Amino acid sequence: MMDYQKLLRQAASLPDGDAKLTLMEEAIRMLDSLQEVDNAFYERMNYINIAVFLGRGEKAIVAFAWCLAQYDKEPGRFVSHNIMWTYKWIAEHIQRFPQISVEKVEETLADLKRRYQELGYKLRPYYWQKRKFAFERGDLEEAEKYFQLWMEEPRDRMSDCRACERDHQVSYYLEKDLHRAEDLAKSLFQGWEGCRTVPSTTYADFLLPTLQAGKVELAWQYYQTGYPLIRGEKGFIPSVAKHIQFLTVVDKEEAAILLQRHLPEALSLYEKDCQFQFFLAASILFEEIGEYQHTLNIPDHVTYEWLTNEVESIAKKFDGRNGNDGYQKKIIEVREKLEACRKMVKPR
Amino acid sequence: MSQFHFKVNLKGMIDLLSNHLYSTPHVYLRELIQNGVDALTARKKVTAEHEGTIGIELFTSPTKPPTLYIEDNGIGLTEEEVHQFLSQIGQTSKRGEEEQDFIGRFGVGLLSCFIVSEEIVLITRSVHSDEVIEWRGKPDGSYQIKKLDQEMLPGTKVFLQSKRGFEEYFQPDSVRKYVKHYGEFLPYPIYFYGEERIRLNEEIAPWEMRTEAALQYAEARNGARHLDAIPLSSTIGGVKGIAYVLPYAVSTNAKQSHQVYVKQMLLSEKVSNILPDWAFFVTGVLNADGLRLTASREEFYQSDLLELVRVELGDCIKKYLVNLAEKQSDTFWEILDVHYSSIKSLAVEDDELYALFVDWLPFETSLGRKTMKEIRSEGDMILYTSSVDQFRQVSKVAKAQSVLLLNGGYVHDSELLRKLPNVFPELEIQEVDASTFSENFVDLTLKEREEAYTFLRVANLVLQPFQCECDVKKFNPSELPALYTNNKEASFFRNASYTKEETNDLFASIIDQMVVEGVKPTFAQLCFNYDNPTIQQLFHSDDPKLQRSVIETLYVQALLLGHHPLKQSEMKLLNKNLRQFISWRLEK
Repeated sequence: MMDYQKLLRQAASLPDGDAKLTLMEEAIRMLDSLQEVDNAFYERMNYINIAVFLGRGEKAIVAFAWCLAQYDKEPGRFVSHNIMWTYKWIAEHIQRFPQISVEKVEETLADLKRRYQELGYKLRPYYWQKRKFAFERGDLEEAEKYFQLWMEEPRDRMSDCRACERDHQVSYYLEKDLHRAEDLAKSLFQGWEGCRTVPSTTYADFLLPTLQAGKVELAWQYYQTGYPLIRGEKGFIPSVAKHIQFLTVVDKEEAAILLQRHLPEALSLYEKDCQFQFFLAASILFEEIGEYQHTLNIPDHVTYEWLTNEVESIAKKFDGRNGNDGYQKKIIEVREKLEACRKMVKPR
Repeated sequence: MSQFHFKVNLKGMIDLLSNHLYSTPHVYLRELIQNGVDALTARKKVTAEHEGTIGIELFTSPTKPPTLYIEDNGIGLTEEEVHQFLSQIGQTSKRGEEEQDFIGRFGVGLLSCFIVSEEIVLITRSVHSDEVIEWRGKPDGSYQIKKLDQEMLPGTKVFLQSKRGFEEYFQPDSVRKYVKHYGEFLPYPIYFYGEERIRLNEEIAPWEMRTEAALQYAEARNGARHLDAIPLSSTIGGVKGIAYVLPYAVSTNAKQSHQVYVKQMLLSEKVSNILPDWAFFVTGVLNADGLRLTASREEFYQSDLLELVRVELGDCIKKYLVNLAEKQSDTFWEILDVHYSSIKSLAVEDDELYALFVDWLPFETSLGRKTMKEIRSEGDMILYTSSVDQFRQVSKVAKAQSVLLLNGGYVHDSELLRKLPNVFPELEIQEVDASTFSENFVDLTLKEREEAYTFLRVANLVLQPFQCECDVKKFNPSELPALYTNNKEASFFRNASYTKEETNDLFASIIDQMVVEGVKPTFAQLCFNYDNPTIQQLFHSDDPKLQRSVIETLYVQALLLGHHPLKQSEMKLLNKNLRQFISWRLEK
């Protein structure tokens, strides 16, 4: 057996995580030096698949860049479906790095659109990414426009899975019409539809809006059902942040436990957007637990000051890129939401 | 305004059910037995001492398709109940407060018979009435009811004639097999009437057996002996079961499937979400009465109750392990040997188990595989790398220096190591990466430094364009001329710039933006070994061109040893120097 095969076999026996990625990286390096282009391509595609779900966008993007180049170099050598499917993820993850300019993200989305059109795919995933990027930048008019385009475009085999699309719809209504969002989410919560990320993320999304609406018991249920789904998983840092926010209002000690459990992963991320959400949740929790924060089992440099600094500096970077104050506003919004939630919970 | 009703096309519905809701046509047998069992349970509520049985027979003839006959001496139905329950989809007689005593919930069960038959004939007499009722239902939704002028003991009889093309589901062997499959542990005897009467189900279920009997039962069934059997129970979910410890190692991301029964009727052999994920080293046989099922009755409804049950069942396994560690029996060693990775993942989360097991868990070290107890006996300072890659870079050097270095790159190992001081306060745990490790190499004396000075200056100049810093130190093994090390950032940086050369303009610029601002540019390191004879010769060479070529070649060689694909510039380096060496040799 070749060395790279041994590595890949070891990697296959590991659960998805950094250890697995490291072994695969080494195997891919070997395949590159052996100039085994086909194997290097397919192993990279596997690798991207894992890296994306672990929130390792920077690794996935680099690997994808190589694959896309090979695909373009020899049209017909590699099946287009897989790489075009992966491209959706890449286009989404690129948005999460503030150092990547708006122009580059738009160029990438345009490239995705062009390729989908050339291959005869519907533009549904493209419209969703456009909506997502506009929404994240705080351009609500543009976001609305692309949401409607997304709804009108027919599904095809390049569309996100049904569970994900359902979740997209839920996320659209969550802030404006909780009742409708609950209706839409029913089939997800009842287990009729689901995938790797949905409804794990959906439960987290419902926590604060539900609590804010005064449905305390229901919010607890979402926590108790939703958190175990991601407790031992990597790649769910934004959802963990939401669970921490919820617990900050209802059970601070438990919130601190979650913080300690997931902090190492959050610290290791390059995706600044995910870090922003986690650090923001952590900094608000720190305000609540005051002196008690020194008893936490976390790295020494992670203090309240450090966290607020990080949050501010990431927000500045994103706002600088986007040319507005959307992230600054997000900080205020989260604080306001938590304040509104507190009013719904009777002090224990 | 007039009000109308939809006409629901029953044929279409049945098609939907058979193609989408159920996994195989054989489920019609499960639904029939289930109705029988529910009727018997209902009768027992009226007459506690009633001895319920179910009987099955097959009628075959050379001219006609086979017919299945199934009878029970349960509660039976009155005419009114027949109209109400047999003839409305979604209606079930098993509603109300006592719902959890029954298996069925959706009132669609009987419809599954239309997957294999064009007509259901049902004859029934209720314990509350003397009338014998015959009901004939057709898949187009029509049905007939008539009163029969005959004597019958309370109970229900069903006749099903096979549809053309579905005869295989009416063969005696397959009927016996599937009835046994679904109803093996049902609490009422199920008889098959062939040439002689045989009982199809067992008298006692594994979850009611003692450990040894449960092990023997499983061995007789699967031909393999499990390492042990752990009793499981959950009061909130009404679960009883057995977790068999698998006799072979399973990978940590395997999802075990468990055989799950509800009210002693087989639900599915592929349920994975009833035990915690970390319990991948056991396979369970369980009966659950308190959990809700989805409509297909082949899965549990995801809920917070299910989560609580999972925790409770996990605790059973945990308690068992604690007990095992305290006794240190042969079984303990056997299980540890096979399932240490599972126990590791458990110990990360659970302090009690951690304290009990950590000494016996094996780790990969530069001196081979060792248990924590062995590792601790080497000293109070424990060094580890956090990635496999880092470990590979320096384990050879560590070994040559008899330094015990742990590979913390595998799942959970780093986390386990970091928890060590909680149990052993005297231990100090230190993460090292390749570069901190090489910092511990022996520094040169002033004189030696002078000797290496020119060489080092040249080396740094030569390798600077490759983001590589050079140094000279003394280290073992002396056969190693140079050690190339880089940390995670430098490694990522290298990979990114390699890819940048390969990809299109758009992604090259994206990588540029992502890496330039996102990653601190860290230099990789090439540390030459003062004790290596080749390096010694190089110090004293007065040919700068030769020095340069050898440095470049050693650099490329170190990259190749570490399995790093060469960038174009490095490939050129290799080619240039090869040609150079050849021509020098030929010139001589």
